[in-house]
Amino acid sequence: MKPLGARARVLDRSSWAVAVAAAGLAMVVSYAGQRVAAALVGESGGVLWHSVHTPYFWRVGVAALHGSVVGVTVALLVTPDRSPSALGWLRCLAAPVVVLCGVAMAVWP
Amino acid sequence: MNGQAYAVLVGLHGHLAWLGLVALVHPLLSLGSAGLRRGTVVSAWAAALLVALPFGLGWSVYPTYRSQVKPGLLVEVPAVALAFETKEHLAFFTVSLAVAAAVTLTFGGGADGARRLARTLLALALACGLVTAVLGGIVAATAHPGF
Repeated sequence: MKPLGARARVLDRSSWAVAVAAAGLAMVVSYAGQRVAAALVGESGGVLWHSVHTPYFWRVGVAALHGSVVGVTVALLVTPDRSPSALGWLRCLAAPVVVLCGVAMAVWP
Repeated sequence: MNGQAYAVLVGLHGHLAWLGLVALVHPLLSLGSAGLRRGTVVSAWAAALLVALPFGLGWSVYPTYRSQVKPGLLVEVPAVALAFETKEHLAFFTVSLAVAAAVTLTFGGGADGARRLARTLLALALACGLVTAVLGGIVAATAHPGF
């Protein structure tokens, strides 16, 4: 029988990078998603300023939570042999994702 | 918060934000060359902190903006009020991407792919930050307590 913790592995540098970058992008996507969802259900930063409004720190906190979950999940799943290609994929995805989120924020401020 | 303190903090917020954007350029350029120097990681962290600091200052003045500036701004110049909303969202993107780039460099900077990814994240942070700064300038030219 393997001792407890025998399956634990040390992340290599590329795997760390994939996990952290994925977490950062997940925070951006989560924030934008929350904002767009709030706008679609009728809460707008511009219209309901005097009414109930999701606090900014709450939205940021939820985005940080989502980022942490994605980062930890990616760190657990990505293996050293997959991490170089994962880095490439993330690099290709980063710009379209951020631009899309930025445009969404301009459309639903 | 009184109008004078608000004006001082908003001015500080804007100047520090521009300083942070300029600081983002250094790691972005130095990552273009081969290898990773320790100074690049340090400058990436310095830039990330310099964009996070005005972001925090923005949080500290937001309650005053919300109660004393925003209502009048929405009625008189709604486009500027909406520009502010867009700016605060993009500011969050800037900080997230800059910090993610600094952490990526710290943990994975030895790998080529990680360095290139960190450079992309820094470029995106700079782009978001520049749009934020331009919108911030437009808002600051119009909005002040007692607007």
